Parts: sequence; C-alpha cells; structure tokens
Amino acid sequence: MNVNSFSFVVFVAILVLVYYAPVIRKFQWIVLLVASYLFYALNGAENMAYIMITTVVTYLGARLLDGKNVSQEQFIKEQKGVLPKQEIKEYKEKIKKQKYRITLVCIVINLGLLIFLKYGSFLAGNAGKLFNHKEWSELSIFHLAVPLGISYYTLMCIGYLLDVSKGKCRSEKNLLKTALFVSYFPQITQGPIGRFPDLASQLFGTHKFTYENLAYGCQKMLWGFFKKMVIADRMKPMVDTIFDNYQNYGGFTILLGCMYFSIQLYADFSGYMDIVSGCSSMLGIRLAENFRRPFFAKSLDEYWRRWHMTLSAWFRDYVFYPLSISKAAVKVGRVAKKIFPMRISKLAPSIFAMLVVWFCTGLWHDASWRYMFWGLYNGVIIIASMCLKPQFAWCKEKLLIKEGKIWKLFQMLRTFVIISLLKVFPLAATTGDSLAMIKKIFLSFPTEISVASLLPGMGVEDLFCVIVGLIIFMCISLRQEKEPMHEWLSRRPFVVRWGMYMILLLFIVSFGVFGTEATGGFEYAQY
Amino acid sequence: MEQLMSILKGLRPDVDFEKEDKLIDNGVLDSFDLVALVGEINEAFDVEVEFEDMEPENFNSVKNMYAMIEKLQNEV
Amino acid sequence: MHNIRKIGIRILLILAVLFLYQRGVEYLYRPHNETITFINKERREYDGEIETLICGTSTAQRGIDPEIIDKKMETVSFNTASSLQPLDGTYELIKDVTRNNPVETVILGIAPDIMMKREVDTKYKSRLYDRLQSPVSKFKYQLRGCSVDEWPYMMFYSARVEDYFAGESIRENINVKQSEEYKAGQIIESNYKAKGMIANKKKLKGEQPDVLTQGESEFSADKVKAHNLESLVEIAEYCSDNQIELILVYIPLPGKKIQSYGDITTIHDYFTEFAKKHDALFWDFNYHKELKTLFTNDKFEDTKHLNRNGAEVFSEQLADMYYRYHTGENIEEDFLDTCPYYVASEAVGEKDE
Repeated sequence: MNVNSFSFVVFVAILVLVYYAPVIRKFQWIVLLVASYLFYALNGAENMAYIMITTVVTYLGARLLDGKNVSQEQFIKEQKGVLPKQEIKEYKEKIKKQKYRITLVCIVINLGLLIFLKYGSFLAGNAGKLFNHKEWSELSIFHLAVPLGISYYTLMCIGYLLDVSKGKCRSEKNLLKTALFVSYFPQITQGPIGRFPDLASQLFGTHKFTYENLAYGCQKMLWGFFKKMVIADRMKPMVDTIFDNYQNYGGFTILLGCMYFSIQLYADFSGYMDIVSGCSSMLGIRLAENFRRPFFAKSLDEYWRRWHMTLSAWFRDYVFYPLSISKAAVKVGRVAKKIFPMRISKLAPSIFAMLVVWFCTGLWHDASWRYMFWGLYNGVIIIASMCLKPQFAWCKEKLLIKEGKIWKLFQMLRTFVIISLLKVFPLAATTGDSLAMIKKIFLSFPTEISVASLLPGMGVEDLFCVIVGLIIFMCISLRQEKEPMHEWLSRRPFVVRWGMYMILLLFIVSFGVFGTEATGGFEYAQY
Repeated sequence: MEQLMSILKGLRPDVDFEKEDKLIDNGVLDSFDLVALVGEINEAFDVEVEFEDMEPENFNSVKNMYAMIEKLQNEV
Repeated sequence: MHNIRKIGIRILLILAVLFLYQRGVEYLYRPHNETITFINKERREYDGEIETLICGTSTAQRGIDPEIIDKKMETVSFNTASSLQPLDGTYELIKDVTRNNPVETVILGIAPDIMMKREVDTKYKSRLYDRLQSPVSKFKYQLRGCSVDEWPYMMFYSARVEDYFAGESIRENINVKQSEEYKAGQIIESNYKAKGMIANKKKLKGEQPDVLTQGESEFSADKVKAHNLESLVEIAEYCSDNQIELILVYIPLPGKKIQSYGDITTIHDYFTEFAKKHDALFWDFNYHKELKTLFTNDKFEDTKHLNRNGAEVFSEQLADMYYRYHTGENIEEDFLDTCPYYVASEAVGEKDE
C-alpha cells in the first residue's frame, strides 16, 4: 500500500472514523499502534521482526538511561553539602561512563542492523574485491529485503536515546507506546524524522474531533496528491528518458535533465510530506515540516536548511554538535592553528565535523561511492563558501553588486544550478556514469536546440500537467513565503476555496498517475 | 558578562545581542557560529560545554548563555 | 451534529461535481462506436426476457451469435462475454443478469489461458465491470475482484482517458454524437453485431502447420490458479442451485493454436471431469468430428477467434446440438475420442485445404 494510492485514502478514512468513535477516547494511541503495524504489514510482513527488535532495544536502553539519570539526580540531591565536590564529580563521571556504554550498545545494535541490511552487499562487494573473493557480494545473506523505513526509524530511535541520555526528556515506561513512536505510520515510509519530546504528548494524548483539523488535513492531502500524481509522476518519463540513455544526449540536455529532476524530486518528496502530514493532522498530530520553499534558498547552506529539514537537523544535533566539541575536533583545531591563519583554524573543528556529517549524509542515502562523492561535494562547497566569505565580499564590492531583488534572484538561480548539477550522482546508475555526465555537461556544447533536445520523452498531456501544475505550485510557494496557505485560504469565500479544491481534485482524477509499483514509488522511500 | 558580550560581538558584530532572545530558534546564529562560540567560551571561562548542554534554550539569549556558564563553573 | 451536517454537505458536493465531470468527460471522450454503450443499452431493452446467457472470454464474444441462437433454440439470448473476462467477474455477471431475467441456460466458453492467469490487467477488469448493471454487483466485484487501487479506474471514466489532447478525434466524436442518426440509435462504424456479439470480417491468412509443436502456454491442472477454479465451481454451484443448465463449450480453434496449447487432451480431460463432478455439460468442439472441414482458416479472424462467418457456422452447430440434445438424440456421436488434428492415421506432411 503506497502512500499515494487510493487504498491509502480508504485506509485513512476508515482510521479516522474508528479513531474518533466515542468509545475509543482514551485508547486512541492503541488504535494508532494497530493501524501503524497494519500499515507496516501491508508493506511487507516478513520484515516486521527488525522494527520490533529496534523498538525493544531502544525501549530497554532508554529505560536504563533514564534510571541512571534519576539515580544521579537523587544522589546529588541527597549528597550535596554532605560529600566533597570531588567525590560528586567522580560519581558523575562514573554515571556518564555507564550511560555512554548503554547508549553505545543500543546504537551499535540499531545501527548495526541498518548497516547490515542496507549496506551489507556493498561492504561485502568491496571487501570481496579487496581480498579477491568476488563471490562474497553474491551471498544471499547480503541480499535480504531492506525493511520499510529502516533508515528513518533507526535515526529516530538513536535521537530518542540521546535525548533521554541528555536528560531532555523522560523515557517512555510503556513498551507499546514506544512501539507507536517508532512505527507511527505517516512517518515510516520517508520521514519526517520526528523527535520524541515533540511527538510523545501528541501521540499518547487524547484528541477531540475538530472540523478544522479534518479540513486542514484534507486540503493538505489533496495538495500532496496533486504534486505527486500530476507534477512529479508526469515529469518522471522525461527524466528517465534522458538518464537511461544519457549517452545519446548532449551536455545541455543532461543539465536540463538535472534541473527537471530537482523539480520532480521536490514535487515528489514534498507531495509525500503533505499527504502524510495532512493525514496526521486529521488525527490531531502535527508532524515536523520537512520543506520550506527550498528553491528560494540563496546559498547551498541555506538550501539544506530548507530541504529535508528534519534530516539535516538530526545530523546537526546528533552528529555535528557532539563531534565539533569533541576531543578529536579540539585536536584538529590545535593542528590547524599551526598551519592555517587564525580565521580558518577557528573554523577547523566545524570543518572537520562538517566533512564527517556530509560523508554520513551521503552514505545514509545509499551505499555507493557516488553518494559519498555527492555528500563530500556538498560539504566541500559549503565549507569553501564559509572559508572564502571575505573573498566573495571583496569581489562583490569590486563588481559594484548591490543587494537587491536582482542579486537575490541571481543567488537563487545560482543555488538552483549547483544543486541540480549535484543531482548527477543520484541520477547516474554508477559512479562512472555520473563522472561521464559531468564531463558531458561541461564539455559538449549544444549543436541544435529542438523540442527533442529540450523536452525528450515528454508528451503533450505530460507537458500540460507539468506547466499548469508548476504555475499553481509557484503561486502557492510565493504566497507561503508571506503566510501559511491555509490562513490565506480561510479568508477566501466558500466558492473560491471550493472551486480551487475541485480543480485540484478533477486534475487528479483525470491526469493523475495512479499509484502502481511501476510509477507510484516514492523517490525517498529507497533510502 | 562583559567578557561574554565581547566574545559574541567579536564573532558576529552584525547581531544585536542585547535585544535578541531567540538567537538559535530564529536562526540568527548558525551551527558554525555556535561551535566557534562554544570553543571560545570553553577557553575564556575554563569550562567544558558538553553535548548535554548544547540545547537551543541555553544559547537563545546572552542571559541564558551566562546562566549556563555559571552553572558549569559551579560544578567544577 | 453540526459537524456531521457540514461534512455531509461537502461530501455530497464533491460527489455531485465528480458525477457531472464524469458525464462531461464521457461525452467528449468515450468513442461513439464503443461497443459497451450499445451492449448495455440493448441489454436493458431485453430486461426481464433473457433466458439464455452467453459468457466467457473474447472467443465467446466473437464466436457465439445470439441472433442465430435465438432463432434455432427458440429462446432469448444475450452475449455478455468480454476480452480476458476473469472468472470471478463472470460469476458476478451471471448473478447480475439472473437478478432481473428468467435465465434457464448459461453457455460458458471455456478459456484455458484464463484458468491459468493469476490476474488480468485493470483494462480487462473494467470491461467486465462496465457490463455489470446493478450497483450492488458493481460494488461486490470491486470488493472481490479488484484491488482498492483499481477502484478509481473502475469508477471514473476520466481515469481511463489515455489522451486528453487528441483534438481531432474529440471533434469527430462530438460531431457524430450530435448527429441525427446517432441520436436515433444508429450505430456508426463499429464491429458490434448485436446482443453483445463482436464480429470481425477479417480472415486468417496463415497456414496450419503440419507438425505438432510445443507451445508456451501449455495447460496443466497444476497450473490452474486456485481462485479461478474456485470461481468456476461457484458458477457451477450457483447454476445448480438455481436450476440453470450450465453448458461449458470449448470454441473451435485453428489448428495452429491447438498445437500451441501442447496437449489438447489435457484440456479436454480436465473440463470433462469438471463437468461430470459439477453436474454440467461440456461440449468440446475441438474434438468435433467435422472440425477440420467446418472450421477452416477462412473461418477465423486470427489464430484464436472466429470471424463473422465462423461464428455463424459455430452458432448454428451449437444451437443444433442443443436442440438435438434436448430432444433425446445422442450427440456423443458428433465427437471423436481425440482431436481430429491428433488422429494418427493421417500422415504427417499432408496439407489441408
């Protein structure tokens, strides 16, 4: 059952009816748990063991950590003023080490499962090449099906463990409630990567039915379906045409293809986000936003604060910060002081942490060298722009460039082209292909401009849908920069609002590519 | 307090630290600023800001930062 | 309460808009010569009268002419067969027709390929779905035979339109639909013959091979999918419970096709056994003693379906056999012990005219 399918709509409709039935009241969270596991089962029952293992490990780990926190607090309360400060400090150090061990074990198990299932064949393949055992990569144990959402729920669990360890929240006493947090179905396929402190009270509380929640949820889901089925899936044939046979196309077409893919991916992923957050809103649970008009970003750094926000926030809070203030980073800083000027050496710990984060981010997407390159390229560009800030400012001054609408537009277009160029890595089938594509983009010049070279594989109907869809999308995005869409909508008269909804709905039932395995798969579900 | 203020001003002269009370929540200080800041605080006040302390609340305003530093100093 | 009313009004509004939109899309895009329109209209005209129901896949749709059946069997028949009609759909269809009609006989054209198919494409399911007339039957089939994801395709014509921008054909379509002839019910340019039958004039050009060759879609009992057999049993039981005579017929195939099924004996034995077990009749026309003389190449449209002439011949044979069976004659003599193409006495290498 895909999220963008009609069966999902029926599933949600039935769930909403059951969820708000008066007899259910206090047990709404149980309904959600059952629904989440049902959803998971409908997407591959044999894999349920893995999510259960992760849930149990996380639950136990969190309980233990919470226990340590509580005993530490108790100890300090009782012994303050009684024991010397040094002893209290030693006690705290001991507890810290114990918590560290517990967290490490849990993370190793959870991450280990993820690495084994997702990266097993990649690692075996490379190890095999190294040790001259090519058959290692073919072993069936490395080709088990990857469970649904493992990349997402594993990160959520690790985040939860670290939050409990930090004392940011208490652990959940109920194993089943923990299971709900881990498996909550709107976020299981492709995120958003939620945090326990934000979700707990919402998931486990009681929610009264409000018409506003239902209306808002339906609006969002409708918009999400439109983006996915009418825009993204209609662009897919063209993007596939170019990249399945990139050898037959010129560099300019490939560059255009990258840009089309950026748009397609955005419509796809943000469409999914709207469907699931709309569905969740109907249940009274607000999920974190994953997008904030990313194409309005003026730099690559800002782009990553507007695109897949929960992922970059997760890496920032749980990898970047701890790493950048760690002993290793301090060492890097000391070494850098000896080599680089003051300004750069001060940034050295950040740069070190940033490279690790980007390496991991690339790896998180896929077990392949091209994704690692992709990650590192992102990191290098961001670091370079950081280090060269004064130089850029100097250039700007010399070229007499003024801050204004035109400059902002230039920055946005520049960012868009950079992120599009980086798309060769996900689009290519192999690392070699991606390098070949880059070469083509920069070296081969267009000899002819024709419809076939600008819009290969694009039918009239596809073009119509994409153009109309993108115009609507652009208008909505521009409006959203000023205020949330549903607020603007609520001020319009009934006829205007419902006119718009009906147009979207009719577009979907006419032009929508209905979710089948062939086209309905979401791009980010593969991660 | 003045020492802290001068560190902040040295890092980001463009920010009005007296008025801002949502430095992290509003994205006024980005992650690099925060890391550099932590490094300077550790050096200047002889404390060790740890992972547990890296919470938005602790860095949203100068007042909060100072409270955190004092707490860390008392623990030593 | 207030909420329920608010929501209810909006749901009604959505349904109304969808309904009107579908009507509009169908007017513009459903081809004027699409057969299902005529089939449904005509079936409604015969509501309450149909006594003999013809069903099955495209072989039955093109092979059995209700007008000949009517004349020769002195009955009122209707052909509800469709391409790749799934058996669970056939079951619903039989119930659907029987609801309003005094059906006494069901003639089901058996199709070994359908028995072995796990699932048919949505397109073919929709052809069956369109033939169901009562909303109850439609809903039951949606629940039983279609996945939830196929529902929009079934229910909304707008989801089926393949090319919204075929300007030329839309214009032509509207022109025809607005013409006096069309409004008067004349059928313009279609393969539709009457009472559900599709008949093509095309003739098979190929030669029938002399040497038996193994084909890909070889039939065997273990290849039959359980749910298909289940549906066939349900049909048999329904007919038996409602005193409806069930006649399974294996419509003649050109020699080439028979050979592509590998061993036609397996098919014959399988359905013979089934018919015996479930109190039905099975007439295997591929064992008919005059198969080679009656059903020559020119009687076929392609390597599987009878053309207009072939259907005439077959329908006459079928009706004749029915008449003789019901007047006590022994029709077993019409059939050989094996398929005429397998008769060993004929030398390999001899060509048929």
